[in-house]
Amino acid sequence: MIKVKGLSYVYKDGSVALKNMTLDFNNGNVIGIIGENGAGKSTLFLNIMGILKPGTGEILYKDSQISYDRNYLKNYRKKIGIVFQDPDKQIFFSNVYDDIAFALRNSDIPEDIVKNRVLDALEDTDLLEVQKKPVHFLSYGQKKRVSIAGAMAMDCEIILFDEPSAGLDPSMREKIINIIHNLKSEGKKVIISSHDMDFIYKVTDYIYVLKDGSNVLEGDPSEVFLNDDKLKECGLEQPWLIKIHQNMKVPAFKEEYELYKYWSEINENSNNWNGLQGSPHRD
Amino acid sequence: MLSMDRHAYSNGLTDANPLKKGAFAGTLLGIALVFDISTLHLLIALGTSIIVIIMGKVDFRVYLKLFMIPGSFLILSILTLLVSISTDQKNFLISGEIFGFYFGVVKTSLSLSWLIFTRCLATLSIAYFTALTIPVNQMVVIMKKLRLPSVLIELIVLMYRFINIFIKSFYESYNALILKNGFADLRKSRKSISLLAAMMFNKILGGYKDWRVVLETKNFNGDFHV
Repeated sequence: MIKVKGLSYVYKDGSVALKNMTLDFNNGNVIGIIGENGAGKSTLFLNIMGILKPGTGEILYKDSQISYDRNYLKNYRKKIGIVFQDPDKQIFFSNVYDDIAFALRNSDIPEDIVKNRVLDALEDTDLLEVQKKPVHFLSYGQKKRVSIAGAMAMDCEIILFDEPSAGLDPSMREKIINIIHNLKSEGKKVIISSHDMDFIYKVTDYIYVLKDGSNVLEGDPSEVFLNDDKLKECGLEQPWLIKIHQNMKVPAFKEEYELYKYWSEINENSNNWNGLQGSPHRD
Repeated sequence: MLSMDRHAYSNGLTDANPLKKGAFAGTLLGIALVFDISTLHLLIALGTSIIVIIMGKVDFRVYLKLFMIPGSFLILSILTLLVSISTDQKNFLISGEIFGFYFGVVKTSLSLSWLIFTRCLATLSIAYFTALTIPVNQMVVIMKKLRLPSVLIELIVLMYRFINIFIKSFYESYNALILKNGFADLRKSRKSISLLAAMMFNKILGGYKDWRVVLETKNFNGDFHV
């Protein structure tokens, strides 16, 4: 659906943000973009959204190059939404409902549809009870979900998340993971940029690793995260489940509970074995 | 300001009809400004205060504290109106002499000061009634009913949102400076205040850039649909 071909971007001050980058977002449904600070993740997102225009290369949406014409971008941004890292910088209204409805109203969607979409988004993000609360009384996690609800209400085909788990407590992080899983099950494509390796490992099914504006590694998360040397070279580290897999020779599980289940089965088997053989600590 | 805002959203009258609350405040304001009757002004001040404290369930100490801020300015202004200077003692009700000049209170200034004082009390209590019982989202309903231009309503709503972001941002920077002993003495305080001003200026400029990008991604067409 969306591809980036030979993309390069240089900022006005001369700093090179993206170098001949080629990424195919058809490789997965939830795609992770990882890399250290300054690797080019945010610049890539701004290029995909048509905010920045690449120096060379192209962004293909449904196999045609995106146009920077105002009308084209208006329709394009109905299909592709973005959730930025800092919710305070993307919530304009003091009222949750109006903020979620903002992009819909800008797209001239009739008010009855706006209402249905906003209420659905509020329900999906577990925000129904705070819809009348002023935004500045909400917690950081709730504000983050308001900004996610804004993108979800647009019913976009693709949603880009910039650091979705940054600054969240474990329960809010879990809620965001559930929202991403639900988006995936609804057939939406999710592209996530993050430094949170455990989060990325848990939710994504394909990963691109960026370094100094270039794509240096890509593939299935379990394979990419096994390449510890390359990750270290890129200023990243392995998720803890992969570390356990490599150091304790257990299978590479994606979820914590799978590891505990595996261990309990091993223990059960070893107890049964001991029961048959008798106590291993005989005098 | 944040505490007033919090009360506006959580007082006993929050769910009351905003148009009725607005009409009530507007009528009382009209009466207070048109009639020169101090007793009426005092009754308005007392009545609205009772409504805010008893029906609105706003803590009496909080309400009193809110009155203290403009109250101190009010008393200072009334004192300057009240005291007259003259070389002739005969018009003064009470007076004292310093270097041949008489300082004191004359009958006309006393009645005028009293009238201004009670009118200010009445209008202040109406202003607090409005601020403490009508939250901004209800203000928008009233402003729309009054057919105020949508640009003005949009501006008010955006200002309200950004004032809150500004206050939050200000306190974050201010607390960071306190933790770095930025206000340890007068010289450091002066430097910290200038740093704080520069920081806020940079944050506003940076914020403007980010907000512009976000508005673009939300297909902003110049209308905030308030």
